[in-house]
Amino acid sequence: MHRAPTAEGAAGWGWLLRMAWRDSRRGRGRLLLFVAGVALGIAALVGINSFGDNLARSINEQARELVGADLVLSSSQPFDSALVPALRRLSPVQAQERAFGSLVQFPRVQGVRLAQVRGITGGFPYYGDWDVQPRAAVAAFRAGRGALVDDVLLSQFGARVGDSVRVGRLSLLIVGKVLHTPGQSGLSSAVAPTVFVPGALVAATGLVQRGSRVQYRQYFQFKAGTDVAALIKPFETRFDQANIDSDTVASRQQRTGRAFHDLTRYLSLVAFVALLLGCVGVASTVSLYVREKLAAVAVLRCLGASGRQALLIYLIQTAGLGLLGALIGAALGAGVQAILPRVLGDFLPVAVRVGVSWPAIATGVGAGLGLAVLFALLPLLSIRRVAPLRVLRAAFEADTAAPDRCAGWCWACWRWASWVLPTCKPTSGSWPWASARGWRRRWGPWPASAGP
Amino acid sequence: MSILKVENLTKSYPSAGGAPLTVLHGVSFELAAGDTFAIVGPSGSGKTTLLGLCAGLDRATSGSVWLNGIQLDTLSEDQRAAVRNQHVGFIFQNFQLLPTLTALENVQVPQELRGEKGSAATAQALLERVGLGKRAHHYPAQLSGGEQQRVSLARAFANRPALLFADEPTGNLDPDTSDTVVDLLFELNREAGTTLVLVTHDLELAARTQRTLRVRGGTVQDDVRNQPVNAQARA
Ligand SMILES: Nc1ncnc2c1ncn2[C@@H]1O[C@H](COP(=O)(O)OP(=O)(O)O)[C@@H](O)[C@H]1O
Ligand SMILES: [Mg+2]
Repeated sequence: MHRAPTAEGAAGWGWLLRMAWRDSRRGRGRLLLFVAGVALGIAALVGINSFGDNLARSINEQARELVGADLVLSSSQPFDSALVPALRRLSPVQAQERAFGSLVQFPRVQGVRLAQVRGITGGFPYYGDWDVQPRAAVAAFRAGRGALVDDVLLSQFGARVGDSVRVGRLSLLIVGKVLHTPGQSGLSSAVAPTVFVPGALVAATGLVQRGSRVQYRQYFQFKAGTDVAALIKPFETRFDQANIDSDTVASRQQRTGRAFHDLTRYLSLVAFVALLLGCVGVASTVSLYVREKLAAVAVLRCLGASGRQALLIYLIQTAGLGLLGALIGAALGAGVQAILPRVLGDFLPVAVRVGVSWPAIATGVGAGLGLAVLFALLPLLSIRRVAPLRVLRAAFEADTAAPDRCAGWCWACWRWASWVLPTCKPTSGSWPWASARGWRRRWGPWPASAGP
Repeated sequence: MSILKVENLTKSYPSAGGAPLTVLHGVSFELAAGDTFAIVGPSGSGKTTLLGLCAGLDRATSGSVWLNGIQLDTLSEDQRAAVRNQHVGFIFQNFQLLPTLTALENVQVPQELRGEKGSAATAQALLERVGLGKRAHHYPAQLSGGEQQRVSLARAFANRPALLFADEPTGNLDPDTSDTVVDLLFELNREAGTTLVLVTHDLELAARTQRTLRVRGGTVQDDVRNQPVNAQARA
């Protein structure tokens, strides 16, 4: 006498969204924890990935300043005299360096310390900012009127410009202090501070003799657009035989990039752990939240909501909060990436140009939303099985005990995610998947005991 | 024609120790549309269990329930939810309003679930009818017990149900408030022509219905027509 019951009421997505909003009115404080969990993970992820991207870009942009020249040849022996005329023909703009370790002395303050002595002839560095104070000291140095000393070294002994420094048998006027030298990080000048000596005066120190450990370097500047690799190609075998290393802008880009790839990888692992912690936070917050909502769900079911509708109300809520957390996290991450270069400043060879990395932000927001939903889904699934009978007897009415097919499906998703995510590489190589892959190799897919 | 037909209904719960605990033993009755019907009995006699089965909130161990001609035993959980939404209204001892929804929204939910437009106007009118027109935007926590029960009355009639199930509707109310709520319940019921199934252990309240089913220990003891004079006198 009545039409057959349809499996679900006619209420559509609009109603589900409205209910999701209404239901969130109370307990928003607790949902804040959920948002914070997602935001934490995503902030770390976005911050570190953006930083990695910026670092990689800065290294590429500043590699020339890092080298200070277009080509550097270096060897632990004086260059073969047969090779010298050919090298001289490479470019009219060249500089020579002899570098060695030695005790240096500041007679006025009676300070003695092991330092790196770099004897330089010519106009090195050709690129980058050689930060020397006073400015005019560079010209004075190149004219052979005195030495330049690392600021670190001067301040260690309370010595100052105008004092003299003694290197071997030579006593030199300190004409300037060096705050930054291209290619030298703050850290390396702290470990082995440098005294720059005019190349013509190196012999007078008496420190370069047969058997001394000296590093010989030759710096070249070429006309813009010169193909440096092609230029030195004919020399390769001769360089090899003479134990000469060549360093070009391109090779430095590669080497520095590789070295700092390890740093970003390590940081990515940190981000990944933060993300996992965030996910655990999400899962536990949601399962507590669901427990509080059982009574409300039972009422909804009693009034005619289907299990699917009840689940969707809370899934929409979770997704909304996940998105909110991800956006907050991305914004925080943008802040973190601006701060990281300052925190790591002394370790970094280049000035990292801070910029918002949109790919990192997009991946972060996507990952935040996806992981929030994925990790919330398992605890949320129990909503589908809340018995409407609870409205009559909340105390001891057990909810449907039948195993949920969806739960198995959800676990499969988790496992899938743990296998697939590490193989995606959405940004320029600094993404944590690389580390995750190593992590997974060691620990296997998600902990086996976590399965149902 | 019967609006509710219960046939040989048995409900037992598995018990940890041994034999299952049977709380309803082959209960049968039939209810005509428009009847008011009370189920009475001492605490623990199985009244709530019986109501849950009749309203499609629970499944019987054996036996059948036809609600408005629809056999409930063969339906899935979601199908029974749809039947409840289409044909059934509820009133509970502890009100069961959604705490995060205002009074108005609580009354709207059954209609919204049906996808009906204009639920706000209908809900507002119902709230006026139960004397809470000015409290529409208050949350349950801001309402007294009696007021909450009046909101739940409004909600119960919102989807114009064929059948109204009330489980101890005055169980959590003081006597004066009880009287107001009960009067309102019978008035609304008469106006809407709804069939009422009222579970109570209050014999005085039961006497206001047309018919009383007395259960004890999970079996029907008797099924009597009340004196209409009696009901009239009270109403
Ligand atoms: N889920 C259950 N498991 C075991 N026993 C139950 C369960 N639900 C109800 N009962 C028992 O069924 C009997 C009838 O309960 P109920 O229908 O609530 O009685 P009434 O509403 O008449 O007080 C009681 O003895 C109660 O303990
Ligand atoms: Mg009861």
